[in-house]
Amino acid sequence: MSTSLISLAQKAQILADALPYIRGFHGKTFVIKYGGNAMTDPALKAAFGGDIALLRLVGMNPIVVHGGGPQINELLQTMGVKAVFRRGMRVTDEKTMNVVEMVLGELNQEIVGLINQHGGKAVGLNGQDGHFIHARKMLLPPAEGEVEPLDLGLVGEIERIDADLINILSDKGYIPVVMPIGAGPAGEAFNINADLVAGKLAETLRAEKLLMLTNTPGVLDRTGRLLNSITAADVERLSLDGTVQGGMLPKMDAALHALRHGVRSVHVVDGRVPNALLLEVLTSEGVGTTILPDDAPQFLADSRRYLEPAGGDTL
Amino acid sequence: MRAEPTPRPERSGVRVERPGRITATDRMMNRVASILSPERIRLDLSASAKNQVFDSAGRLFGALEAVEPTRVVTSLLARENLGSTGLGQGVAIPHARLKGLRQAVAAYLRVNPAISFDAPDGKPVSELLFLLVPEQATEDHLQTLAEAAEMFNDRRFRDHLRNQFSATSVYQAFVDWPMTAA
Repeated sequence: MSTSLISLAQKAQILADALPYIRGFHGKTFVIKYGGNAMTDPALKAAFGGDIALLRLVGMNPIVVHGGGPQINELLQTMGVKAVFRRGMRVTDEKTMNVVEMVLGELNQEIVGLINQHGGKAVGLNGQDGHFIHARKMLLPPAEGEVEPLDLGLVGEIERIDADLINILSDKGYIPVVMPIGAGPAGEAFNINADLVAGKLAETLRAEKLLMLTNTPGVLDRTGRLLNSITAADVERLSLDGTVQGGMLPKMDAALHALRHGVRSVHVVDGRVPNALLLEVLTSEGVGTTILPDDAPQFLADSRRYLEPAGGDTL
Repeated sequence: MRAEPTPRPERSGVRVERPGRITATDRMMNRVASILSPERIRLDLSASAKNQVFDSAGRLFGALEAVEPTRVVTSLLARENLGSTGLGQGVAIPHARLKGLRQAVAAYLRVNPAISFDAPDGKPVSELLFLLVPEQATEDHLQTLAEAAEMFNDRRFRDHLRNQFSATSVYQAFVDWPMTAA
């Protein structure tokens, strides 16, 4: 919205309207999974840095987790390292792992810079720092006719996350920016899916919201229509019946896990919309899909309980 | 999807007679619109908490119906105790069952700034549709509530409603739902 399109009075109203949201979410933790176009388009990148800084400066607690996706493939290709996939997952040998760490490290510093340019105090973190992301080697069940589990090399899964380091930083006003590298028992590095890191972090921190930026309008139904608001049970159904596929699957896994462990809501946000984060957090209407836990108030079920003859107004 | 759309009520069956008021004789009028009227719409409310808005709703109903405002508030709060009636996206549908009420009535209150409401998405609420229902005909009232929830789950309706700034145009927005494809 350019200045000429809205009057000063409207501007003031927009700012005043944000106050109840700022008040309601003051001191609350938001884990934000950064990825997709929002991470490559220069204008969207700048807007993202500004949004994160703003959320922090008005008293919220944003924690950023990012992946590496397309940039990793590009560099592997340039370096002539052959990408091997098994069951859709990248086999990460030592050479590949070096590339992954290199790309993630560079992206991490870039994101820190983006936020700091807008007055935030971002700090880049790797799961090996303070050994805060405990990981182990991920082994997939053996393929049919085989005995040995499927070995993906240095791909890890999360054992647990120590929230201390993150809490110390955010309590002092810093904005942690986390790359998805975990540390094994001997301190060795493992490559972990960034969505799963974001989900586990939201769970460990008992975050108010987990927000995942994507290149899609949100979660879509079978006919391609955007689902505005769904529950964890809906997510399970949509994953089982194949409506949700591909890159959305780890996101849904992360969402389910977070919601079943105390996160109040998960938002799949359309990261192609400028300032999508601000719209999601500071206005009534977000851009994407809201996923709520199964035990959130169920309007009609509660009403039925209330209206049934035994309940209700007995005055 | 919250508020699973229940079968649409028989529109032709909805006919509310209220002498001296706008009478819902339009065969296509939905249930919610048929129990709402422009004089039960307030768009300029300012309140700092849920209870204050409920007090305003109680007074508004009390002025127009034969109901005791404090009883309205007590009953509304009893329903909230079972779980917030906030739907998310800044909308809530507080409702109560009242002994002695002759027929269901609705009121619409817009509060600015938005108030904290313990809604599922944690966001404050600014648009409130209040419903008071008699003790009998539970299924009927649930249908009305389901329809109200379905209305507010419709993003186009929410956007449209928020852009109406007079009681009559807000009322018209309710009457016009479901909106025909743009």
